[in-house]
Amino acid sequence: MNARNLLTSKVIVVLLVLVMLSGCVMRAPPQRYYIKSGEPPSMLSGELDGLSGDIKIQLNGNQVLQGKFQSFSDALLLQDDYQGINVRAECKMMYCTNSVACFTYINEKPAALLEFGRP
Amino acid sequence: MKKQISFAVMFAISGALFSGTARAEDEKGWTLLPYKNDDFEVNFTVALATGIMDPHVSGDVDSGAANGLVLSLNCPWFQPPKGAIRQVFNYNVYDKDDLEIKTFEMNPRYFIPMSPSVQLGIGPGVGYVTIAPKDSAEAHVLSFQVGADLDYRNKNLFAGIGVRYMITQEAKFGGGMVDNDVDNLAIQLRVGYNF
Repeated sequence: MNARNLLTSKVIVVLLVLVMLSGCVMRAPPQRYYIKSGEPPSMLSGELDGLSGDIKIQLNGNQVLQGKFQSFSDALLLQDDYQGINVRAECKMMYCTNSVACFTYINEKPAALLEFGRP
Repeated sequence: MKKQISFAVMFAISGALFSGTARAEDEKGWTLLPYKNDDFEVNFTVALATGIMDPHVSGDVDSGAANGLVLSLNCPWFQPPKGAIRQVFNYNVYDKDDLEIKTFEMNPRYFIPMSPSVQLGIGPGVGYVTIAPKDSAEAHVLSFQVGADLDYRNKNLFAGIGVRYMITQEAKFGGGMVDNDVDNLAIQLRVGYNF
């Protein structure tokens, strides 16, 4: 292996290590939603572990939904009640952007779009 | 004859891979020319690649480093309802034992998700190979290859590993009196940027 090849290989391996160290958890930018008019907005947010597929969705910082993408699966439906509020998330892989989008509904009304990993 | 059989086997394998995929997706329907749709995104990725190439060349030629570039984008011609087809272009340079091999490859891959960030892609490809022995005339041949990529994507970060086997046409090079090929196996690590 000549010196130039060796240097190139080392640079790429170092960059790979940096990528690994950067972590695998993707956070969706928080989104506001007014559950009741006249009251302060609620914040919907979420985090997704890109390797394991574990996904958590929070309402005002409290975890309300949790689930896991199965291997070779590109969609996940989550639903639960939290303090009398029904929260549902329809998550799917967006192949065109290599990201995951979760369409969230509160009491069956569209509330927010949470996007994970979009470049 | 042996070369023709190799080509036939690789075409058959790649054809089976894609026809199997096509049957699985037919029920939902494919999108032709998705680039015409408003929601089509090219999703360019540029990456550096490094790894090992093992040319099966008679004589004193060993496996050695193969470095290069990878450019990939969503396929503008076909879009399956599940998974994605990406056009992957590879440029690799192997330089060892007084033999330099440069390959330019077009390797379409059908990707399926292993997890939200990890995708497995398989597919065939074609290429153009320059065989350049030191101190003698170079030769240019076409190639056909089959390979698999495991890609990790997290926002703008890209990392991956790829393996592919390439068979090439035969040509005279290095002062040889008979035609020879540079069939080779390559395994590479990749790191890059998603635009």
